[in-house]
Amino acid sequence: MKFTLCILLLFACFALDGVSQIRVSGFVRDSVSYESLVGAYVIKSSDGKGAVTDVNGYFSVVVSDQDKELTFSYVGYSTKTVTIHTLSDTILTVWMQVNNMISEVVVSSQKAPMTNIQTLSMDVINTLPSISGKPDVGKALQILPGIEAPREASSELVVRGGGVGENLYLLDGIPITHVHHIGGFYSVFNSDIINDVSVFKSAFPARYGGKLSSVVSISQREGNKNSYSGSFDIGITDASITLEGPIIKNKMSFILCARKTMIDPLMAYATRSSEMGYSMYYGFYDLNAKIAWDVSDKSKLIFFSYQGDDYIKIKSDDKSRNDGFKFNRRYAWGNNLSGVRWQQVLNSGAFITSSLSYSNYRVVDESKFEATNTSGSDKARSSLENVLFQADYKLNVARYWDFRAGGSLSHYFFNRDFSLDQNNITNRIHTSEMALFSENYFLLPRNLFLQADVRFVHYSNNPFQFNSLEPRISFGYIYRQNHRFSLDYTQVRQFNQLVTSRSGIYNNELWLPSNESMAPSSSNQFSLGWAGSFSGGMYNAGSSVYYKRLSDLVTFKDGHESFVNNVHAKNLLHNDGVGEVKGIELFLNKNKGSYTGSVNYSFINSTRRYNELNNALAYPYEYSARHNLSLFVHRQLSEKWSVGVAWSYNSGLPYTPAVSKEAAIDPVSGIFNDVVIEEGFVYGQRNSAYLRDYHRMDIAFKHTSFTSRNKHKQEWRLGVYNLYNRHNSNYYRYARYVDSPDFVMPDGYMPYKFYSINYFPIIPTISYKIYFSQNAFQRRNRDVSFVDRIKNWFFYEN
Amino acid sequence: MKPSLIFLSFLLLTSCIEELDMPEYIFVAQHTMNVIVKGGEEITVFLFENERIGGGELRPILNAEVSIWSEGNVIGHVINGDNGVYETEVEAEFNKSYEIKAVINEVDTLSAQVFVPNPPVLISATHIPIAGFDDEGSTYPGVKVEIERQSVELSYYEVIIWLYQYDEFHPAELYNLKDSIVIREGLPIALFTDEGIKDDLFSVLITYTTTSHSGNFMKLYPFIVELRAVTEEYFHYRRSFYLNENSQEELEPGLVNSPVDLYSNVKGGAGRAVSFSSVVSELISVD
Repeated sequence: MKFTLCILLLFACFALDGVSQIRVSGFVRDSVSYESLVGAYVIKSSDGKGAVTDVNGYFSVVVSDQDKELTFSYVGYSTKTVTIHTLSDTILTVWMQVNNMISEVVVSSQKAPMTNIQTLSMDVINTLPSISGKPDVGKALQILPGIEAPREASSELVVRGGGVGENLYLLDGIPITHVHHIGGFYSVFNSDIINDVSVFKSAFPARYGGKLSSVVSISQREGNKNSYSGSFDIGITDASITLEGPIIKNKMSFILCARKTMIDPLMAYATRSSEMGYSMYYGFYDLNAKIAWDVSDKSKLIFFSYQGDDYIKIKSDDKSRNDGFKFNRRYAWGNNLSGVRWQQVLNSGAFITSSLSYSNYRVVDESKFEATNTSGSDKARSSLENVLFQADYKLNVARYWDFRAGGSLSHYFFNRDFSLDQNNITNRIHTSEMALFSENYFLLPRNLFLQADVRFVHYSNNPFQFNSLEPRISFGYIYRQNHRFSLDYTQVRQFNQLVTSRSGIYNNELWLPSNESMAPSSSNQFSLGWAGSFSGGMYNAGSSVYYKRLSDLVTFKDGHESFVNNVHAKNLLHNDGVGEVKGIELFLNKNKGSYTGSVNYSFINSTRRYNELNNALAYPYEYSARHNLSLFVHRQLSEKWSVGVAWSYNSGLPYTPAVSKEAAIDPVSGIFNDVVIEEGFVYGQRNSAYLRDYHRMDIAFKHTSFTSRNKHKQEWRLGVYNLYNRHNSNYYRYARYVDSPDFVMPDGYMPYKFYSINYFPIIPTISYKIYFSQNAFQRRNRDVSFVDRIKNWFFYEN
Repeated sequence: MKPSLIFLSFLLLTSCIEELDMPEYIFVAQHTMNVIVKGGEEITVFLFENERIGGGELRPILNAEVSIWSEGNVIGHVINGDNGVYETEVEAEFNKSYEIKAVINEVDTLSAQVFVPNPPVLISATHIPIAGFDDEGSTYPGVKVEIERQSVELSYYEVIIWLYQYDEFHPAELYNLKDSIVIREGLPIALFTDEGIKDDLFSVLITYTTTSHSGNFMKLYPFIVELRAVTEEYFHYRRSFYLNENSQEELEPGLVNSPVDLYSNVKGGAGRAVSFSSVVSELISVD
């Protein structure tokens, strides 16, 4: 702590060196929709240095006498240059115009890319092939080096060998707990509303904490403040609709985005009409809403909400059964999240943001039945509620010093309710995290830089109290404005642990708070990285070497599960885990030209060690392959057609082999008082063998055109998942399959054989998207009703 | 049908099973001794050799010498077991410890200690024809088992429902267990402890399936309830046996296999010697 203070004071003195300086800050916005642009580059004319707009579209730079101009650039927009006339601090709003001539995918500008953060724009996400035929954020992130899927076709993320519960997902800066549908196959983040996705794999800014492996920050669009527009997107599994427009023209906007599976009504109809006596259906939905109000040039108020669930419903059908038995069962799991954020520019160098949010991740399994002489009900409900207040203050202290500080207060409520008829078990745990942080970015002489951050967290789960001081340091060198070298150290603690079991859907994920017997897990990571851009930003490339040590990790004991927190919960867990991850990452992006794309490679050696597992020896982490390679190429074939091809490879996930078999007496034999000797498996070293190599190619064609009548833009996406029908192994199994003709040995004994279980063959996909603009409104007759207007949108009826 | 995600069904339908060459694993030959001592019954010991995972049938050990010891004295002795089965004439007494030794080829000695618990007290077993309904709207039954605690110390129990089907008693398949005392152990088996229970009497609800239906109602069969008081070693072995068997099952998509070795408390080799004592209810009619 003393060291950090000394550093701050030293650089404060150094930075306030009396140089004549003017601060220019403000927002970068779309000139038509008035939306804030996240990640726009602001470049000074004198030295090519500058800034990038944050998630609010806000920037702040200090300019000198030599800086006559500021240049603003953003993907898909014409570059804009602003001449600086002022002699004093000033606040600007810069309006950027869409450049329709830009057809290639642009990943970043020519400014030196960051080594600790990788960003995917929606342009890139929209061009990647996907198993559902529609863009999926989780799967798109998996092309980046160091990010893997824990299993095939999953949207979950394993970042630098960490667990799937160790990623901090932020939706407009608010943590969201459950991030996938259908057990991991779809991301909850609807691409129609997403503005930008950024991932920190190391050197997390101090404002972020509470998860060990990564920070995935997803910013949502604010909606068009100038005119009404929307889109409708339909794929093989789900459909989504987006509406946006001004509430107060150029001041306040809304955006509403809804997505839902289409198969559930079909399932309900099919099961009901089959007269099996019940109807059953499964589905999921997401609903995103956001209202942004530019209260003034300097302040903004934003309200946003997300609600998403997976649900399974089974209900008796009175028409097709005459036994008097009625029942109703519902499984549901998902999040809801609401938040309000206030942003205020205090002066040309200072910006303050504060937010208040509530989120709730809950799992419900409830059923009721009624028969002639009896009735019953049971209900199991588990929820994790979070009330969070955050505030942070950004100050451009001096030409060489950007300062940011703030804090957050977070209350978590872990609720478990379990009732069986009249018997109830209720368990409530309340924890809190109070965090304070300070971030300091110093531009040093000779193009050196230092990011010196610190985060302090006081965690309380009465009577357990824990104070965590987490330094994050990044020191580096910028070479010719295009290359950045940095050495980072990051310390993070995680207070809520995710444990997953192999059982059914609803209790597959369980969040547990740290307490006296389960210490907060921690991560200490050292990373050395380089990132650079070449040929005027046409290419960028980078590499990282890192070492990460994880401690106090938690996992279920093999095969165990728990729904209700109770005195035994600690007996179901291993909570003394230690992990080590060593890795190398390389990437190369081509950002401009007729072909664009990327090549990414990572080597990851991730191990875990628990005292009661594998004789306390370290073993490879089961969700991380050693070698990962991904290639992605996008090509604009013509004005209408484009194609994206992705190829991914990994060297196979580890598994535990069964090396022999031994006699095992069955404690509950087949027939009363009989004795049965079974063949039990004797396993070798944990995860000491590997599945065969995994590789797969996906392709997606996109056809863009305009409807003949209203000239609405429309897109057809035609894709093929697993183009060459590779049989990739999901797991290996030792089994006896009696239908194999050569299986039975002469003595009648059937030996075990070795099988690969493969899931996804070649799968064609298709989806369609149409965009609506205000043209439809402008053409409407003023007397036409709202319903007719909707009909006009969908069916082109006048 | 387990929470019937259509997508997962789709995956299953399109999944593919492909035979691969069995990998060459390093194999270490080992003797295995299995004993489950039941209070009040004669002690039987099972001796086998282990085998490669892709190898043939487990070979019984025929030429061993098995002895049962109590308080430092040999009280039972048998040689050359039939097909690996060594039946002694020692009747296991309640609340008594035994040591079981097996000498193989006059060289290798396997040994284990076992303690026989007192039988539990089963107060009542009440049949519940409809304890819930499954994902397809079919009912399933349950049994409420009331137990009297005999000791303030931690006790371990297992409940087995023996269905009388086809002129034999078969263990019922447990289904959708939801009793909090049972499920807190984290496995879907009726193996539990009385930890945290203060009262002398407590009950557990064991739900099961007979796997045969008549319309939307489950077809019921007469049954008996066996309540076992088991030792801690039995408790550990029973759990590992379930997990080991389960690890051989085909997985639902998205799940990961849990490689769990069998519990072993045998010195000089592999295997286990565990114990229980039990009481059995009257035959319970379901009419």
